[in-house]
Amino acid sequence: MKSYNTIEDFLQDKSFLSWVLHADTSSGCFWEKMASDKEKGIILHQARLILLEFQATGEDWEEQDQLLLLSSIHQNIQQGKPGRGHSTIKSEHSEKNHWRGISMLLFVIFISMMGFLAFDVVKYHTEPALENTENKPHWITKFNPKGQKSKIHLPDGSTVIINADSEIKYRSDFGVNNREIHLTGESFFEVVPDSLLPFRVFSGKVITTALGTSFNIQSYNPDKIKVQLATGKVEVVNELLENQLVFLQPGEEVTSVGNQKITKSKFNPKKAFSWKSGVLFFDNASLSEFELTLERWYGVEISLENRPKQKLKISGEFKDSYLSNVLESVGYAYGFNHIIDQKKVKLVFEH
Amino acid sequence: MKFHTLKDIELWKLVADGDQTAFDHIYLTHAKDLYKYGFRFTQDTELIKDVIQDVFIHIWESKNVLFINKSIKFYLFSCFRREVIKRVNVACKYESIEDYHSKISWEVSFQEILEENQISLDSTHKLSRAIDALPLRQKEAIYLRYLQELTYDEISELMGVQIPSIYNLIFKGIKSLKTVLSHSDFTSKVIFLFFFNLHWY
Repeated sequence: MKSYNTIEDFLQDKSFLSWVLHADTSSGCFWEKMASDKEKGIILHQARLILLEFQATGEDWEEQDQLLLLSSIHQNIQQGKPGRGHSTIKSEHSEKNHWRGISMLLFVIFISMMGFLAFDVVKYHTEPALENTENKPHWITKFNPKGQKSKIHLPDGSTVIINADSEIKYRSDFGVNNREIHLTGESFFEVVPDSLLPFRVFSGKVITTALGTSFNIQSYNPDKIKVQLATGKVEVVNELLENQLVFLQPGEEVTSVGNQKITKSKFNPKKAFSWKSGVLFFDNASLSEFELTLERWYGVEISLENRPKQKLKISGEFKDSYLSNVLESVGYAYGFNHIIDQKKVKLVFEH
Repeated sequence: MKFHTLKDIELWKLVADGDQTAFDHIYLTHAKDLYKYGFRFTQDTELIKDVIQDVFIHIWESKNVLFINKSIKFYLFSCFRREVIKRVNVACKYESIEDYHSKISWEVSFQEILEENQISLDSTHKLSRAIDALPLRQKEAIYLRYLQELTYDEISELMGVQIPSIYNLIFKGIKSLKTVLSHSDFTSKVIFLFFFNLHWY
């Protein structure tokens, strides 16, 4: 086995080159493993950076444009006679061939005019097709109304579990040119690793970037956004506070309140992720929190009668329960009756 | 397509016999690389496309007399290079080719990489500038060797430089980049970012 002690060792390796430049995954595991090596990983990464930078010089040539030029070449080939001598590649003409040169020049001008016309025709014919085939990226939206949760698979293999009253939006080229998702509400993300396309979630002003991990984002209130990490690592940044970057460890969460500094703290994973397994979890919830959560979860409207003066702290855990069961047991403990009329729910507190 | 399995000599023989689909295959395989390579010399995309067109017309027209015994890619690259340099020099008679290079393209493209890879700007900016500052010949040699995977022999012939000098150009180029990389603070940060994605494999 080769040793890979210098940047050149990597650059000289064909499979390394195709891994970096052509996203060839056949030897991916081998390089991924080496990348996590303490010493070699650094060298590997440097070699990778150099390659990527060199690759980035110059524009990529659009395929349509390539084909256009090819058809123009075809025109030239068919109209030109063999051995006519192309104007630029063989451009030396001796004095004796002066007249021949001039006639050749006229001929070439004629040909290029023809070519130009043909080019226009080709262009005219291909343009309508262009619009159809180009597939301009469009937005794809997944929306859950209140009372409904869903799990979707993204084109890159990642999954999102979308909570009730939440929406995600991504472009049709997701997984090809970007992995960017816009979120309103709450979702849990399980991200498939991809070293070249970071996975980014935009929620309000908060951008969360992951390279392969699972995490939860709660952004029902755009001014109070929570990012909670289950596995892996993510980077969280608030657009308004560009310089403040926060890295999270599993079990840590950040809360971004308006324009204030992002704060990091520990959270209870059981509570935070329970929603995605159908568990309704209250941990010292206030009455309004309780109300809002139920409205979202069951897609109902709740009204209160005889709102109690003292503050309630509601705790409880319900797995796949009917609303009536939840209200029954919470009401028993905190002293209210409930009336359910279709989508309208009334909680009546006893004095 | 069946052409993928053919060796260059076999493929060229088809073209020499007048097989236009084989010719198209060669175009579709290499035109993109040539186009990108063109940016080593100029930012003028029309000029680059013109030269590509001429090179392919030229190989078609001389298919009966042309014997490609090395790789087709090498032949295309060397034709292309010669012609591009010739025209760029005409386009700017009073400027040297070095001046003609637009530096902006390096910066812009690097910006894109940064965004793609989430690398913080200040740290890798150094690498970008270091590459920018490399002599053109070093850049070109590194590009042809590692990005286009040409052999030392081919690069030597292409650039009109002795083989040992090619080794030298590449060695020196990588060496200066290495110094920049080892002196920058980027490793900890970037490698960190790089790692955690791997960690979860």
